[in-house]
Amino acid sequence: MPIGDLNVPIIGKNVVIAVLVQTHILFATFIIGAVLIAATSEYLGMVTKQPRYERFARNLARFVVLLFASGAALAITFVLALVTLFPVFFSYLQNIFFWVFLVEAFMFLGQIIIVYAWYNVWDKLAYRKTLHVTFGLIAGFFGLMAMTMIDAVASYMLTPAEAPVTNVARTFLNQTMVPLNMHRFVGNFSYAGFLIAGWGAFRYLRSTREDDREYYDWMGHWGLIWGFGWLILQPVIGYGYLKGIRESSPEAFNTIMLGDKSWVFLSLMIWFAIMTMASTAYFIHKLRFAVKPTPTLHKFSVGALGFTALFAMLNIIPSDANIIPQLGLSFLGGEDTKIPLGSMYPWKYIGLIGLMLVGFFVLALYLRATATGFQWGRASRWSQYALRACAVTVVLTMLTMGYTRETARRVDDDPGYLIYNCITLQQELTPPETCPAGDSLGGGG
Amino acid sequence: MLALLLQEGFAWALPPLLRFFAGFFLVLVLYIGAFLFTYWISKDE
Repeated sequence: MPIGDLNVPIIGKNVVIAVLVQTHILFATFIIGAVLIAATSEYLGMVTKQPRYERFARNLARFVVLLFASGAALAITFVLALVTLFPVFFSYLQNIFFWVFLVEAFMFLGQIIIVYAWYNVWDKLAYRKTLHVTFGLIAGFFGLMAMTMIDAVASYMLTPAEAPVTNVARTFLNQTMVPLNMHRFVGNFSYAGFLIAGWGAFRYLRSTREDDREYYDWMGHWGLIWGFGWLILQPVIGYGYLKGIRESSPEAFNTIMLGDKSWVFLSLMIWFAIMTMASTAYFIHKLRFAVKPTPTLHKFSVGALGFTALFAMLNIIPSDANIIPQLGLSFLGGEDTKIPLGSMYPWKYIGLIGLMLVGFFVLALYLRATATGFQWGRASRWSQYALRACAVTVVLTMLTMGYTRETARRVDDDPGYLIYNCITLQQELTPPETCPAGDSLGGGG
Repeated sequence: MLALLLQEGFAWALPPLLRFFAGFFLVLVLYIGAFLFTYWISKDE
């Protein structure tokens, strides 16, 4: 290596990057989702003349403006850490994705400018609401474009295109770029929605004024519609993403789905089960407070909760008794002992499709009751705990997914890769015949 | 202690499993800390 190989004592340099990126993504995802949810809410307030939408949109916009500082500071710190700790890898990455990083930087700049303008001209454009809502939507669009650029880089690291790195289109649109982008597009709304619902629940339980209780009860419901409504698309989109990984990097797929690290996928399914069941339980509870009594919808929803539990169980049954080998959790002969109903085909496919269909069904029932309205401010404590459980679980989901994707490049750590099959964790280039990009990236060790 | 950590060639690290949990803990500390700070600076408006 032409320059010094710096390391970080105690936690190591890989953990430093992981911590900075994971935390940055937790903020960035919230900001993109929240800006789009706030702008849509503002639009709904304009159309329906219900003041709670306006109050919600404005408060959320202010919070996003203030939160931007933390998200941006982490992004800068992350780039600084990457340049310092992985200089060789970063120079290759910057060389391959120069235009992508440039566009990303300008999208980020555009997002900051428009988000700040959007919040600051709220009163000034009070009588030109359409224009003001457009500001919010443009800010969201810039955020989505910034995410799209970084998704091209992140997906390339796992599934580099079988083309020279100078082929900009194939490098950008590598095999998992589109599914990853769709997965994250949906995830923005879902993640922000669940956090908003959790915050609404937290404030509801602390509010003493009747108007505040009504507002925060509504906020929990509104956040959950976004959170759950987008979450139920994830099984199919997430499967599309995994299919892309399986076709381009089968060893990486086997590691996270069937191998020693399959417990991370099972953890993901446990979080998914908690969120779907808690959301369905909340919906069932809320139906009791529908302005127009809905006994049939209530009965159907209870049935849907049963099916949700059944399909969720199918997803969390391990395929064999080698559960977490890293912790020594291996029973009855380990991977030789197959567990009934634990195989990927057909049981996990049935579970994933079932969860999505039941999710659509229960959401449709709930939205039908929502059309007639609810009595706000009367929700029980337990329903609010369900919302808070969803908020905590969605953060764990994000952390698990981040770990899953990054660990997929370390099939057996012999070696682990920064760009799969092209640049190792030690920043060494693999031989050209190993790297999908051939001698345009592979350098002969 | 700091002088020991910063000396050239010192790269002792925790075992992988502990590093995993250390990373998890650090993410949560940064995340919750920044959210609480943002809430604190915004709540008086």
